[in-house]
Amino acid sequence: MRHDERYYGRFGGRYIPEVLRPAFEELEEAWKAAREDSDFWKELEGLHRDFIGRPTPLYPAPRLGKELGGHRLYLKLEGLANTGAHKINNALGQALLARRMGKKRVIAETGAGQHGLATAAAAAKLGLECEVFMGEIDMARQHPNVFGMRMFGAKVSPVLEGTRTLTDAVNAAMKSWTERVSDTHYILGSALGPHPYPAMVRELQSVIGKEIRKEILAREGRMPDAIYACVGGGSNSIGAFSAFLDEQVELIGAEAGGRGHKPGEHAARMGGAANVGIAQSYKSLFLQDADGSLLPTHSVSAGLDYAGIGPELAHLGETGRVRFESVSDEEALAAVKRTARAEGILPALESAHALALAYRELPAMPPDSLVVVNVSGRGDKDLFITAPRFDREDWLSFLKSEVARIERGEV
Amino acid sequence: MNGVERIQAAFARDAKIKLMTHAVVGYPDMTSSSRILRAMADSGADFIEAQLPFSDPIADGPSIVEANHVALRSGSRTLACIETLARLRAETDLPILVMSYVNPLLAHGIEAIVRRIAEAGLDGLIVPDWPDDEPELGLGEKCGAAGLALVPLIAPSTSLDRAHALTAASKSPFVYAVTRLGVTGRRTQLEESALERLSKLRARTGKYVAAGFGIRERSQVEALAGHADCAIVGSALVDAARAAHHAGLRDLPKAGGAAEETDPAAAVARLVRSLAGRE
Ligand SMILES: Cc1ncc(COP(=O)(O)O)c(C=O)c1O
Repeated sequence: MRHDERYYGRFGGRYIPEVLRPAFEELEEAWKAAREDSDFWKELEGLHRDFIGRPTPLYPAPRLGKELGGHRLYLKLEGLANTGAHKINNALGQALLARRMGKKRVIAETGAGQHGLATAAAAAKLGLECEVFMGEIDMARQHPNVFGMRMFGAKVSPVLEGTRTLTDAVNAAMKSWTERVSDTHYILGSALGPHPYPAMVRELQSVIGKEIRKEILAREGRMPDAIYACVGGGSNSIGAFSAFLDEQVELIGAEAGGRGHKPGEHAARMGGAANVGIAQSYKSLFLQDADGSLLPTHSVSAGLDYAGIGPELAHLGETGRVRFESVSDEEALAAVKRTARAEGILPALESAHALALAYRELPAMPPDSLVVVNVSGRGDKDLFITAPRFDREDWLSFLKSEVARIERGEV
Repeated sequence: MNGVERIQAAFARDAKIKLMTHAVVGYPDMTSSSRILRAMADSGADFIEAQLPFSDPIADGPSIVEANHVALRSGSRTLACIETLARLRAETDLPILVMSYVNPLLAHGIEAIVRRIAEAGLDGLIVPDWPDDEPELGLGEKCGAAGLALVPLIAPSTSLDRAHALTAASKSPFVYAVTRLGVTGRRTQLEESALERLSKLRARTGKYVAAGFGIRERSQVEALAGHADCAIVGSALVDAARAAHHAGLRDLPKAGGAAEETDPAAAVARLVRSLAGRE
């Protein structure tokens, strides 16, 4: 018995402990029913418009396009969605589903904090209780989002196990769910994990690609030549790519090249370093050692710092439909600066990987190429990472004076 | 005698409730782990459940997760863990069950690792993230061919009908019944309804029932008697080993001091004796 709808080539599946089986059966049923229900989509579309601010702009970036060799370059600004990234598309859709299932509470894992923030906001909007699991290291490096989540009334639970980053946050959320499945829905944040999450997250993120398609056809009257997106677990990329899989459009995923090629220095799974495995309840390509234990990863961007990749993207990479390249921390940081200066847009470090790759490749493309980069999020959350690198002395003295001011009781 | 037969014989020996003790192989390091496993066999365990360390143990609570990570950091590799168990096999006739998540098995190839486990003289496999509806790895057939028991896991949320279906085709003489929702670790309050369910599970499946998750002391083992055939103890033993290991790192064993306080194997032995009702 093979469940073909669960698989993308040889990847996917649902490798869950027995205790979670009823939860997954319930979820699968509810998702099937919601998908077929026009009222569900009508409500979601209303919230897209009123709450998220969709459609997000497809911004023509004329100065960068010219600098890079006379191309027509468009940036899809998912960072202008409420809570600052594409993550809200999925979080809100699943929160609606949770309410429909009669759940009172949602839980989520988060890396960069964007998915946690989005889930917390969606829960606040829909009146659901919310708990977010976040690795201790990510809590430190993405602290503004921790505050944000708490502002929305969510409980943020630090994960102290293992690498103390996204992988362990996924484990923690899954475990917490096993203790309390009856009134809780787990809002997984990327197009990965056990079936039906990869399919469900992709569908909820496919709005990105649909909007790009509609807008680019209206403006340019043709399909783009290439679309770039960064790939952590794969939700913004599969969302942007999904409307173009059957078209003559080159699809390129940017992975975190980190600071080197050795194990632990990067999170580039599609460059040949990863092997087939079953972890976190799905089968895909994982950075792992010879005994199947997941390797630690590194990226300057918490959202790309993950040892696995969504099963559909692993498959699309294997068939050659999506090309993957890796982008170093330094290139991504440079792309943040360049995009900000040239276009007045401050991208998230994750998204900067896609931009950096486009900046690397566009000069070699035929002039007048039509290229879209999905800018999955905005860079405000990264202030504590970018500021000390770009302007160390100023940032340090600012922090010191702020600490002193708060200690003096001036706030 | 193959694994299935050895397990069957151990259950059939008498009507007393049995004790299955769990250890993470390679925790806190391979040498100590070897001594811990031997101490379990010598102190009253009826079965040994030996877990292969893995980075992402999705069904385990914090204590066992940490033991997995410490074992990995101390350099415990999968094949070396199986070697350790092969040596234990030479020293005891107790059934030894390998607990592993699916990925460490997959990494070595299911066929090869099952053969290796059988060659080491071990008796069965417990794989918590290998559901019955993802059978394409062929784990069931490969274990069957090697005479190993692939032990079905039954959750509190598993219906009796489903439990029956899960066990009907299984050659394992017993099922692993998880006594509560959640992960390993926290003490379980054994309610009357949970105990009754174990009895029903036994009747419905016709298998011996080993019950675990949150069993920490002798009184719980006694409460299970008559409802289950075996009590499984994991986190409590890992905790005992950890406490002694940490104490041993802190202060050198005092002359005349109790070994239990600084020697993980001695600490585990003491708890196993207590769980087995030997003191
Ligand atoms: C802004 C942004 N982009 C991208 C990602 C990576 O996730 P995914 O590959 O699922 O889009 C994250 C994850 O946190 C993110 O916050």
